[in-house]
Amino acid sequence: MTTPLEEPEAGLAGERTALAWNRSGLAVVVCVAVLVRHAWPLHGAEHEVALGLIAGAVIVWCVVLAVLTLSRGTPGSYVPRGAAVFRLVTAGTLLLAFVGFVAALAAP
Amino acid sequence: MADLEPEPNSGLDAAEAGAPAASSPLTHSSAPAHDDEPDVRFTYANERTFLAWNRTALALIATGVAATQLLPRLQVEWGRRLLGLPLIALGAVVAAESLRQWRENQRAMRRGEPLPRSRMPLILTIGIVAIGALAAALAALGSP
Repeated sequence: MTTPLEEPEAGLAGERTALAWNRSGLAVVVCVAVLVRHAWPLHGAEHEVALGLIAGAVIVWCVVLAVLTLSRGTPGSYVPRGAAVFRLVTAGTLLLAFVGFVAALAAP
Repeated sequence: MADLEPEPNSGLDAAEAGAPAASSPLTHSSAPAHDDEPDVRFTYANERTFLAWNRTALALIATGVAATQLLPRLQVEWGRRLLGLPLIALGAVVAAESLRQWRENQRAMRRGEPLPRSRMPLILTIGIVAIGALAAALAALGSP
């Protein structure tokens, strides 16, 4: 006999949201990688710079996620983000769009 | 927009403040009051929706940049840019619109109002269909 769960979704919803943030971080990294690949064709000595930028994007995203998670609530828990975080994410995406626009215009 | 700024630890505060089962983060005052903190599950869902749209925007941007770089030269001058630049612009529109949509949803939930109808699917569909038609036209012209 199973015990009915009155509130089964609280932790799962938070976990799904945390996973969504991680997928978004991966999407940012992929976007940065495409842009970097566009700017540096990854041959010669410059590929170290490109790979460093991609690694930097990963590290920045991990640090931001860790700071946001640990600064609000107990470690391991997840609480909804404030409006400033959403504005920051949108501004970052728009910045990537601007860089991509300029890179596309400058393409040979 | 100050009314949209959640208090620190907003979801937990709302649950801990006046809910019958104070240990649960899900419980919430049943009567929708003006500018009341919504059920945390709805806040999470709104957050995930914003993130999903933001990932869509990032995918459009990356696709646009890749189109200008990876496609072969087309018959039409600026053919690759004709495909790539609208994709990037559409990504920027989707990103900006996702923030507006998140704000409006959050405000509606706090006030206990119906959620506003999203314009995002329409914008995205029209944009992708237009770019697809453009791609088909460029493909019909062939490569040099």
